[in-house]
Amino acid sequence: MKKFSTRSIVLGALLAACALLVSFIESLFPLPLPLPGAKLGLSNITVLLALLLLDGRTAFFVLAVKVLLGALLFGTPISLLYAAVGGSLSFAAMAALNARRSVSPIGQSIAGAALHNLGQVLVAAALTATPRLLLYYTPLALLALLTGSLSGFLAQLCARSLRRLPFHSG
Amino acid sequence: MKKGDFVILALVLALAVLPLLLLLPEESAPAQALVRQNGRLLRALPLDTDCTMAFTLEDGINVVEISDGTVRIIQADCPDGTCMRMGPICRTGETLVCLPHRLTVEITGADEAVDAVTR
Repeated sequence: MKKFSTRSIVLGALLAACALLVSFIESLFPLPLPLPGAKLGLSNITVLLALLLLDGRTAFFVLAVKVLLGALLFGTPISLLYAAVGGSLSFAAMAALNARRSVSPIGQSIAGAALHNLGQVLVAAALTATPRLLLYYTPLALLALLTGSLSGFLAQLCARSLRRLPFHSG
Repeated sequence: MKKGDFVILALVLALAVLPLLLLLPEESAPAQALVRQNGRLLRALPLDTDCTMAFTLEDGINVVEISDGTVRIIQADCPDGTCMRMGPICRTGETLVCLPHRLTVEITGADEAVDAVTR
């Protein structure tokens, strides 16, 4: 396995720390919606930033830290399952769309948010053996269009500023 | 926003509507609330008679209340209490879920959960 560059390690760790902080702050302000599981998903910005500024491998580690430590700090075993399945699907989508010229970080983030929700709903349907729970995907996915756009837009802004900093040589 | 973003947007919209198309057309039985645990039907409660019923499961207790044709979980000892905040529900396909207890309450045979149809 190729070694991580010092830059990837440092920036990846910073982004992972940011992810936990954002998750924590977000958990203090749940969305005032009658949709359990619905959230802004702002911590996804950090994974997206890792994809945009670093590489897929580092981004995956940011996601892993976010999911595992996030569950340990603010979650339950069930929420870990949701985050792991949702996170993996979301990551797969965002990584597949990474660095495509026709797709901006906003599209990437929308795809990631929509697949994260798909993972959540699939887990809920499987855990309760109730396929009709998939109906719940409709409002979640529509909301994901908004929250995904928001976090994609923010990630784009951050990426633009961070690329101007001197430590960003790549 | 770039061209591919709109393709993604369209795909997500299509994916969002898919469950509605696949799962909404269902049999028209009398309106009732199906209480299931782990997918196993515990009880079917008719929506037209008000009642309050406690379900004691191995993981804990959920109290389901039917009043004025709507269903809610009014009491539960699960750690998150999400199920109590989901209701009340009254239309076909709407579901209350208590994940810690693996309990679902689903409505069948009532009005469709569609606000409008466009052609």
